[in-house]
Amino acid sequence: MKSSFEDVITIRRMAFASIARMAYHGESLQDLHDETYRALPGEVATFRENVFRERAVYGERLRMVLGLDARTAADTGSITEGIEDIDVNTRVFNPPLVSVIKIACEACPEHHIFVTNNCRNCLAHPCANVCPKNAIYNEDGQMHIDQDKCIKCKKCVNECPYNAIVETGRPCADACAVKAIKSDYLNRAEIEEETCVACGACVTACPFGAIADKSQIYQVVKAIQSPQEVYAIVAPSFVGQFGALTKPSQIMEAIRLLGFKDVVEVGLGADLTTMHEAEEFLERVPDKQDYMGTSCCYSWKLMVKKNFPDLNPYISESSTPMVYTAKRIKADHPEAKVVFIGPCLSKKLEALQDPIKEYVDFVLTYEELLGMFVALEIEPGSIETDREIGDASLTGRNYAVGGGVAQAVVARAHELDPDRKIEVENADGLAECVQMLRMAKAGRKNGMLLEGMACIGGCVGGPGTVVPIQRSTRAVKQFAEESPFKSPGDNHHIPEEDRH
Amino acid sequence: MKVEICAGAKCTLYGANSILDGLYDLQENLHSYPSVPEDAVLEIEAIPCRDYCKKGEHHIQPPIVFVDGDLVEEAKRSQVLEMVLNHLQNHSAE
Repeated sequence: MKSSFEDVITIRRMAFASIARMAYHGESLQDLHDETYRALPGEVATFRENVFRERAVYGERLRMVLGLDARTAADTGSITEGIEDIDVNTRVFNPPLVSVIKIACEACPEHHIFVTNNCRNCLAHPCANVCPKNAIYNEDGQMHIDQDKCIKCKKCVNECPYNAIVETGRPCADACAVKAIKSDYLNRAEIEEETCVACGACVTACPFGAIADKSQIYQVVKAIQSPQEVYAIVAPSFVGQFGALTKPSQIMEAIRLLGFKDVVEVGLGADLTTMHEAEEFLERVPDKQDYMGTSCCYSWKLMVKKNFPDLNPYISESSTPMVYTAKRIKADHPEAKVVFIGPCLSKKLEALQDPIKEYVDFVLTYEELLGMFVALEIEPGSIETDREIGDASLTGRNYAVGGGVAQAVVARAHELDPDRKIEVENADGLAECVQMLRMAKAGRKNGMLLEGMACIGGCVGGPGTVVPIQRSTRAVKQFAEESPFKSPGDNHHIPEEDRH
Repeated sequence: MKVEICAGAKCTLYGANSILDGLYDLQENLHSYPSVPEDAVLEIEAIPCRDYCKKGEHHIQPPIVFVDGDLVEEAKRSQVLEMVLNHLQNHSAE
């Protein structure tokens, strides 16, 4: 989440609020076309070059928020096409999760080095002189780079006295650490589903707002409106997402006002993950395996599965905090539906896996949650509540911040075996995750606990967050300190048999 | 001078965090901008929702910012920053 991309962020959130409002107020989805006029009225464009295109893109975005595919210009027919399939109160999911809204993509050129019109066509032309491929030539009064010859060494970029040569490319592809962004026949971005790990980096990186993920807001609201009980579980990064003035207890109460039966901290499940993972590490490393990777980030795990399949057994087999928390709720309320609310896109995929799909029915992001608050005019910061929150321990709450998971596991392992020293490495962002595993594969991480976080800064840096990372990190750490339990071992919400 | 930014849900949806980010950055680097007096002070406060965007015949459009008490609706980050910087460059703190 890059707050300076404010218009892109606003359009995305407007779509969440649009669909949430339609769902809550029982408006017919047949009126979806009217919604594009309601959101973008008049005949002067606000965001794109003309109002027709911006409404068309908004329409495709609304379809994705409903869980449908965005379509290309070849088949944009009625905006309500296929709408019956998603007008339900259960999970619908038509892969892929993350895709390019083709009619919004500007087909940015792929990564290349380029001479801008800052070029003065100087006599010295050091750019051409330093080029090891003789790829730079003079034509029409300025220098040019022969792209077929260029090897992108950037010698010319550094040499130009006018800063006229730049390296440029596609923000989406630059953000993708697993190189899943390809090009289609019109040079527009295309996400290769087999390679994508749904981290969402491209969604927030595209300056045209042309990449989006599918949402389940509509179906969640319909489930809430049905007779079934719906519980929300909120990831540890929820603290501070609705501003410094809004207390965690107010956020929880606001979620209840949306129609949820109750709200539980996923930090509770994080405590269980910590306990399992600590035991697992002590048991497996170094006797059964050389090192162990953490289990809680699904994009990290998907990346290992896809890019380093032979290292998959090195990843912890503990369940994720989302799963443990959902299981706890289902144990007490087998008929209830569970909605995970977090900063994360890939949790939407994790929740579709066997057997996780039995426990987690829906996944929402904080941005989607914000859209729901706005739709119902709920003001979390104005809610009066004396609710006490104490589901999770200090270290469980710190899962939200990069380094927090490994810290929790090491602290717990130390409780179990005080003599054992555990070395840790944190990979901050998917690119570092890939790098760390390469080193691990080469035998350079033996004996270590490897924490993989696909988002820079940890979950607080996730694509579904509302607040910039510095502010939420501070809030999360403070909330962790306020926990009544210093260690998951002290957390009396965890059954006795799991605590030892 | 004092700038207040509404931290309500609607203002947040329409970009209040970006304005807040911009103001924090300005505050931190205040004296690296030209002709800002040395004694200039920028006070930033996130304020709770006062329902301006929800009531009345003419709904005020979010995000809402008060620059030295003056209401700015549909505020944009660079617009607010310009107002603040102009103000600081023209007045030193009394």
